Amino acid sequence: MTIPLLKVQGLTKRFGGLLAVDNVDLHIDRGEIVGLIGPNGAGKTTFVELLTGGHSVSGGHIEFDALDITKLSNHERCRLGLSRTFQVPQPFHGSTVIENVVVGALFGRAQRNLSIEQAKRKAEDVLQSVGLGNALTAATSSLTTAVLKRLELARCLATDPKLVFLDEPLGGLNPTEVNEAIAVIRKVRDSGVTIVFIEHIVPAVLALCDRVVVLANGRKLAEGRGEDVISNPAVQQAYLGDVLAVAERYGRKRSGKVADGAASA
Amino acid sequence: MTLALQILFDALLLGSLLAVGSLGFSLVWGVLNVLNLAFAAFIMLGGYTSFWLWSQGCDVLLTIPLTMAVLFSFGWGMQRFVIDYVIDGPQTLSITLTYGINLALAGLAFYFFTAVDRSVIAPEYMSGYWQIAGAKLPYARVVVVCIAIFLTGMAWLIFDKTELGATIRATRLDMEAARLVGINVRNTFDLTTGLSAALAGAMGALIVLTYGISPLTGDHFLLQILIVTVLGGLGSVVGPLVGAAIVGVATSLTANFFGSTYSVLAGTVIVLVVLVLRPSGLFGKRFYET
Amino acid sequence: MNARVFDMPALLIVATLLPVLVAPLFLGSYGQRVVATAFMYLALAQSWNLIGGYAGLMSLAMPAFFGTGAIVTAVMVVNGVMPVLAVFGGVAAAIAIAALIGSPTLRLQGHYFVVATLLITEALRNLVLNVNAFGFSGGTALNLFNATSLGKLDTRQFNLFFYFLLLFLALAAMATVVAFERSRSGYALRSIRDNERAARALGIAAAREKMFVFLVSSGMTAMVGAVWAFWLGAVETNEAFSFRLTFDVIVMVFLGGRGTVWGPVAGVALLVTINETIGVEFPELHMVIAGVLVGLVVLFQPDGLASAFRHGVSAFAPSRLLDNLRRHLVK
Repeated sequence: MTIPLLKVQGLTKRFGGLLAVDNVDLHIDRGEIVGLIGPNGAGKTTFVELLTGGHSVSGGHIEFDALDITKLSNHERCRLGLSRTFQVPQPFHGSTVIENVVVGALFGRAQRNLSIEQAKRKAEDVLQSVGLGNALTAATSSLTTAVLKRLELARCLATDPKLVFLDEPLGGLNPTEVNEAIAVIRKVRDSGVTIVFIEHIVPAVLALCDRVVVLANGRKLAEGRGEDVISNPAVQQAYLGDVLAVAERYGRKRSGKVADGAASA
Repeated sequence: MTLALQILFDALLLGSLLAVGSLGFSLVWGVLNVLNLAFAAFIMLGGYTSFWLWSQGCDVLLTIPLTMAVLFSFGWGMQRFVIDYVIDGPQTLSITLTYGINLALAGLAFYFFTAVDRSVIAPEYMSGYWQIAGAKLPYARVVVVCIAIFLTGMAWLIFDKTELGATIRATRLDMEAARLVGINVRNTFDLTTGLSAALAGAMGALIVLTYGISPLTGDHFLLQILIVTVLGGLGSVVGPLVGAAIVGVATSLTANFFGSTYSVLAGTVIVLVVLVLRPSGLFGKRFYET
Repeated sequence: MNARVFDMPALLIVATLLPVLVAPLFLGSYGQRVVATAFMYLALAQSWNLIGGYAGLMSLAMPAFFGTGAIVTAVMVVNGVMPVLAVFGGVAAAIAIAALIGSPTLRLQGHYFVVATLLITEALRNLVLNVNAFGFSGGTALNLFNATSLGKLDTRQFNLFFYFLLLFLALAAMATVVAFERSRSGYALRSIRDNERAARALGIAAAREKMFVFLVSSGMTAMVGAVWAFWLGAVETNEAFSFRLTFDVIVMVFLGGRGTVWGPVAGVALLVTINETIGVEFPELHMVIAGVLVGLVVLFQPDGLASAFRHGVSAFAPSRLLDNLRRHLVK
């Protein structure tokens, strides 16, 4: 039995009185693409922050490649091969596209092993592989959201990660761009990188993911194949719960009967 | 007993002055997130304005509201026509700008007033002193303390009880939300700096009556105000008051027992220790930086 | 002839250095001192450029390190230590202090960092004022002049010695900045300055990188302070720890262009020229001019004169300046 690449046990995070992540267990195997979904405020981004080192943990632990990383900082985790992208792209605005990616190459998992020249060449290769080979010297201020997200991904890949967390990589993209992005993500997985991503676009999640995990109210609600998870009534309730309750109440008030119209919506 | 009273009074004097100043200073820091180094110049200009008015025959106490009015306009103008242009940028820009303004104004003060200390002589009805248990408390200084406390109370009233205060507080809490509710953020900023400058002016006027003023007085007091503000933290009225009390007492105690050079050291060490333990001050509300 | 050092053809470097090396022959002793002072400012400016320009940290701790370098060196010399060893002692002391305060201070966000550096400088100054050891009493000046063989030089030799020594320091500082800019640390710092959160997520140990540049900057500043102590001949605590030099240095770096190699050179040249022309007649106006200049730079061209190197004269076109003015205007 192979050890999972990422093993999370009892992960909990409290912000003062607010329980953002509540006793979550999770494992990610090598080579998987796992989708992380859930209604807004479910704690998905906080969960990712905990795993990548952005927040300190209130309880539980995290093992990456059989190493306990619970107390490591984000740069240490990056150097072990655990990387992430941000929901709102965070480029280095004073630098060009290639300079952004060079930073990833210089300080990621290969750090200290690459000279600046070698890092530049690696950056070029990575940019080629995500389709930005012709934009090397562009200034970040002139780029569209889709390209910025691509750059964000390239920079992350330049750190030579074993596992990447993508935070809503498809947000803000039009349908064509979404399809292009999906192709790129597949290519990344094929090159040997394990991927976990947060997303709201259900068709993309179903198309890409081997497995889907649902978080709601900080807890893991369901886990399994995409189709099974989506049709799970508890999951539907979590997403639509409030809407259903309101529809029910108003339906009853107006017509005196439970609004089965809402249930079939 | 005599010594204790003297120390207490000195602490009260310095503390109340610092309270006025740091309320004004923390206003701009808290609402605009600008470290207004030109505040030192505001204090200094307040002192010189009061001095000039007095030298033209104005009653000493009357110079205070007049000075406040002058400094309010000056601060408002400075914000509107200069500082507003860097608010949306990185913090280093605003710090450097206010630093430049401070430098320029101090230079002008040197040029026009020279480095000689100026002070105002208390009028007849304030001369003399109060004798309590052997301690001598000059009436003039007692009046200064009362005025400082009054101003502090007024400031608190404005911020807590008026619509203007609510507007300013709302802008501090969430600029975007304030805009959505219809608050003109730029006008609020201009007003805030105006009020801040008015308080600085008042502090300067009171200083001229107590200690005397020179072009570098502002910088000296700004240092102490920084200590008070950091100690007390941003975002509350209570914070600067507590900070001022601590600094006032610490300074007064060490000055009386160890000499004045140690007194600044005491304040500085206290605040540095506090910063290590609580990076946003004793009563500071945490600002989560992205 | 194609060797590129400092990103400029070697020929141009020689063309710039040659006049500087030869100048003392044509300058009187006053002129030599002015240029030597400019070299000192350049060395300080480049040191601050590392922390204030490249790292983007508005540190007001420069007087603390300058003063430490000056005072510790002076105390050692007066107690019989060889001058060169004493200088290293001063530098070591400054770096030790930087190491001590660096970790908690660099952790502070935004304005708190600036205030902390200011307070540390003040605390150090007051501390030293109260010291009474090793034949040094805080309030009085230390006389180095007779303690070394420098006291035996005549005026001309003395001036020339410090002219070239300070030139050497300035060049060393420039070389350090160039090496820095091209190194991994340079990449790391630029990234931290632009977006610290992203930098950390990419494997940059932000705290460590900041600490490193803080230590280097403090050591360089202390060395200049130590040399200054010998140059002046007598060191007094309040002057050693005063903000007078810092005011000018910050203006010079901003004016010339922070975070660039040649920016501080331009800034120093401009401000020293102004000082020697207008500043001689109206010394108080020096402060006014410096303050106004830095204000104008911040408002209209935050990248300073160095932007002209990169984008040509159009960097100062009125339309460009107005754009810059409006860019950060609060809405």
